[in-house]
Formats: sequence, C-alpha cells, structure tokens
Amino acid sequence: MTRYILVRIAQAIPVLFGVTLFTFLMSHLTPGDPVLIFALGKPLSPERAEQIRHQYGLDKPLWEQYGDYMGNLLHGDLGRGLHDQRPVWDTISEAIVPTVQLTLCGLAVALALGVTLGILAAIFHNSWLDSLAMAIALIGVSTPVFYLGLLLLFAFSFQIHLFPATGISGWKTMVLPAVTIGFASSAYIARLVRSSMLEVLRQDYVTTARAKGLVQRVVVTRHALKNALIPVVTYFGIQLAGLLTGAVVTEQIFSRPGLGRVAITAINNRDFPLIQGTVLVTAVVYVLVSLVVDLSYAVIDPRIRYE
Amino acid sequence: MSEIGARFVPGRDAAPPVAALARMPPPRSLAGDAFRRLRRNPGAMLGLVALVAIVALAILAPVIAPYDPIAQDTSAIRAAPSAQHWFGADNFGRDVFSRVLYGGRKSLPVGFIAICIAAVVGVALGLIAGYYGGVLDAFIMRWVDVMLAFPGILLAMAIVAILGTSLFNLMLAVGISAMPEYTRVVRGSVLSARETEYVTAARVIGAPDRTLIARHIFPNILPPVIVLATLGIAGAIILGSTLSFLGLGIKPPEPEWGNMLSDGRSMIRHSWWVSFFPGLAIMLTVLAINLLGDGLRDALDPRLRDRG
Repeated sequence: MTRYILVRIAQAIPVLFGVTLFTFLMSHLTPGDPVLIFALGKPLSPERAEQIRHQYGLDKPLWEQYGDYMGNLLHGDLGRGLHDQRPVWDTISEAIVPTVQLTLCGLAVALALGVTLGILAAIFHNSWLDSLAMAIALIGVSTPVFYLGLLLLFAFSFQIHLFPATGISGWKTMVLPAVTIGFASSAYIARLVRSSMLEVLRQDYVTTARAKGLVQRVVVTRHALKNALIPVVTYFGIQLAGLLTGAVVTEQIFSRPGLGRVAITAINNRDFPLIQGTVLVTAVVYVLVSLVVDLSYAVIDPRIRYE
Repeated sequence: MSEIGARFVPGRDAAPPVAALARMPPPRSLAGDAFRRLRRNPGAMLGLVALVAIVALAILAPVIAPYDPIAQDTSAIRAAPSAQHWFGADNFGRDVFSRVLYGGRKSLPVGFIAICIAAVVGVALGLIAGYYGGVLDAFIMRWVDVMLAFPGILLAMAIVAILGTSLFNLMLAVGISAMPEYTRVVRGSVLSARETEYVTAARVIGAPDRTLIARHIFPNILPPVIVLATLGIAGAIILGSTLSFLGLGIKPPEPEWGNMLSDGRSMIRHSWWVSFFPGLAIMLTVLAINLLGDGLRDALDPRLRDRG
C-alpha cells in the first residue's frame, strides 16, 4: 500500500514539472517576439523594447528564464497582470472559491441524478424505465453545456421565474448553474452505474443474499451498491475534467465570477502572466485531485494495490 | 498422428469432398462482419442516416438556404418563426434557418478536421512509442501525461491564447487537445499486439519494421481508433462550438453554431429562436454521431463477436 502511494506520487512529480514547462513556454511559443506581449500591442521604440526585455529577463538564455520562473513559482509569485498590475495569485485565489463551489454543487447534482438513474435502469433492466433512463443519459451526453444552460435560463428564469438568471448570493442562484454543469456528468455516471450494477447483481453473493430471503431494497442498497459504485470513483478524474469545463462555460452564461471568466478575459486581453497563471493553477489542482482520487481508489478497492 | 485437431495440409492430405466445402461458411472479414452487425442495429442506422442528412444539408446550404446568411433585413428584425422565416430572424433581421444551414459548413468541418489531426498524429506517436519503446517511448508518454494533466478545454484555450483566433487555429487547438487519448490507446494496443505469436513469427522470417507495423500491428489498432475517432468527432464539435461560444473561435458575422448561440444569449428572454435552433443543430448532430459511435463500438468489439 505504502509502495503504491509512493509510486503514484513519484509519477505525479514529472507531470507537474511538464505543466510548468508548458506554461513557461506559452509566451515564447507565440508568433512574433515575446516582447510584443508585454507592450500589449502598442508600438515600441527599440530602446523601450530593450528596457522591457531587461525588466522581464527576456535577454537571458531560455533555461535561465525557466529557472527564474520556477524560483518565483516556489515563492508563490506568479507575476503581475499586465492590465491591472495586480499580483496574478491574488486575482486567481479570489476567483478560485466560486469556481470550486460551483464545481462541487455540480458534482452533487451529477452524483444524485446519475446514481439514481443508473440504479433504476439496472433494477428494472429491459423495462420501459431502463429505456427512459438510458434515453435521458444519451441526451445528456449529447447536449452541449452552454445549450443546456441557456434552455434552463429561458425556462426557469424567464418563463416561470422560479430561479434568478444571475447573481451569486443565496442557494437559489446556485440551482440552475449546478444542474447545467452536473447533467452531462450524471449521464456518464448513470451509464456506468447501470452496467456495473448489472454486473454486480449477477454475482454469487447477491444470489446468496436473495436466497436468504432478503427483499430487493436491502439486496440493492446493502449488498450491491457499494461494489457497483467503484467504477464511479475510478472515472471521477474524467468527470472532474468535464465539470471544470462546464464551470468555465456556466460562469459565462450565468454571469458568475470565477476562474473561467478570468481566463477568458485574460485571453481576450492577451494578458499572458494572467493566462499562464490560470492555466497553471487549474492544471495543478486537476493533477492533485486526480492523484487523491487514485489513492482513495486503492483504499476502496484492495484489488488495485496488487496490480 | 491423431486425427483430432489435425489440420488439412495440401499435398499431404486428400482434398475434402466438394460437398464438405460447400457446407463451410463463406470466409468473413472483420469489416464485413462489423458492417453486418451495424446494419442490424437500429440506433446506429438511425444515427448514420441522420448524420448523412445533416452533412448533406450543410453541403447543399447555398442551394437550399432561402436567404443570404449575412444579409441584414431591417423589416425582419427579431421576427418570430413563420412561413417566411422558418426559424425566425435575429437582431439584424438575418434568417436563422439559412444561418443554421451555413453554420454547419463551419462547425462540422472543425470537428472532423480536428479529429483527423488528432488521430493521425496521435496514432503515429502511439505506434512509435509502443513499437520502439525505450527512451522514445518514455519521452512521448511523459508528454502525453502532461497534456492529459490539462482538462481538454483548458489546453484548447491555452493553444488559442498562444496562436490567436482563426478557423485553422481553432481546428489545431481542438485537435491537439484530443490527441493524447489516441496515443495512449494505440500504444496499449501495440504493446499487446507486439507480443503475439504471429508478429514474432513475422519478425523471425525477417520482415522489416515497416512491414511489421503496417501489415501486422496496424490492423489490430484500427478498430479502437475508429470507435474513438467517431465518438471523438462529437466531442470535437462540442469543444469547437464551445470555444466559438466563448468568443475564442470563429467570430461573427460568419455564422457558426457556437457563435450564433452566443449572439442569441442576450435576447433569449424575448427571442428564444435565435439561439434555440443552432443549439438544436449541435445537439442533433452530436446525438447522431453518438448513436453511430456506440453502434460501431458494439460492432467492432471482437469480444461480442460470437454472441450472435
């Protein structure tokens, strides 16, 4: 077990290094001289260009620049935004809270809806309920997040005035964004839970439980459910990517603050320190959560430790 | 030698009677087999027919569209759906139906070409990594790990940020962010195919690497790649239109399904049709591709092969 954890952590370190290398190289991969980025599109005199080059260390060799970049990173310094001159870390740490909240609420919706649909479909295998649940899942997988968001907005904010269209205060403002994000993931989860539940319900120990005379409800919730949910945990990493993607779009639709809005504004302004910072922080969070998920999977399912 | 399990060897054994030959099933290829199973799958057939229809509508847009997709008509501003404007008109009086038809000429190729880029480069890297192994394998796979460390949309946004917004950059961004999946799947298939006896046999008789990869290993990786690519086009269409929706892809007034939805966002309260129909177009396209892709997966999965 300890060995597995250490190996898995050791695997994550080069990945994190690669991520920093990518975000570092971003400004150097742009077509044209990187100096132009810091001039924000304004014309530059050669003297001013030289000055900027020196100020941002662009006159040093590339590896030395990367060393400086890493040094600053380890001190928690992501540079300053080109537009507001605000430390990038301040902007990001402020935006990360609403994004995490939204993602977690989306996850809750996805789990509640997905697990329920999946169990129902498996228990009533080959019935109309099964077909209905799988049809909902297929539509969920096929609906772009931004389309679902707009439809919900139109139906529940503008037609029947049940939930507000914008704002971030109170639980009512969270309902539509959370459903928008969670629906697609719930579709994947429903498919997963259904197939793994069908698998588990065929196991000998479930037959034994039935033979003992236990009722369906107890067999499903006490005996089958735990094992049927293991694949859901495994696929959590992939779900997380989907939820984060959904958060970026949903913030835009419901005019919510968050990392997605910061990233989009930064890209439109070509504010590279801010773009690099957002990309870096999101990727690092994603890698770390995936790592935690993998480790917890080893705790839940002992079989994985021996692979 | 026992007769059980003995094979027919020409020149050693007498030819089997003609009647026995006639009873033998005709030789079947994987492709033929798969296609037969696909044809028996009503969902997949529905998806295929719908997809062909959608593609045909996009190709024939200049012939079918009743209006110029960019021409503004002040008398039709935000006109509701009617006999004149089937899908209504937007805030510039542009016909939404015509714009949806023309929008397909951007959204569909973005998804298709992005996946072509992803599949060709991803498969090539996967073949190299899996077949040659060693330092090359380690180098390629570490980069794949790094790329997988970014949620797809983030990588695509980063690439758009680096290269700037244009149709080609959009395809490239979507393609690159889809690529690592192909490399990973192909490498895995190559590793298991490389160990099979027929590949060893081919190597022993002196077949060059080129032949081994092209004739013996490549056919093995094709089925999973076909399934991945088909379903991948659906994902790429969504990602491409998402980027356009966020203003990082195809810019208005050029009609594209994502940017049309974004245009209609501010007027959804009163003129729902402006974003409803382009969204429906994305959804139906993706639904059709998913139906076809699921069918292909069932048809190409050899594990299901003998279950009728």
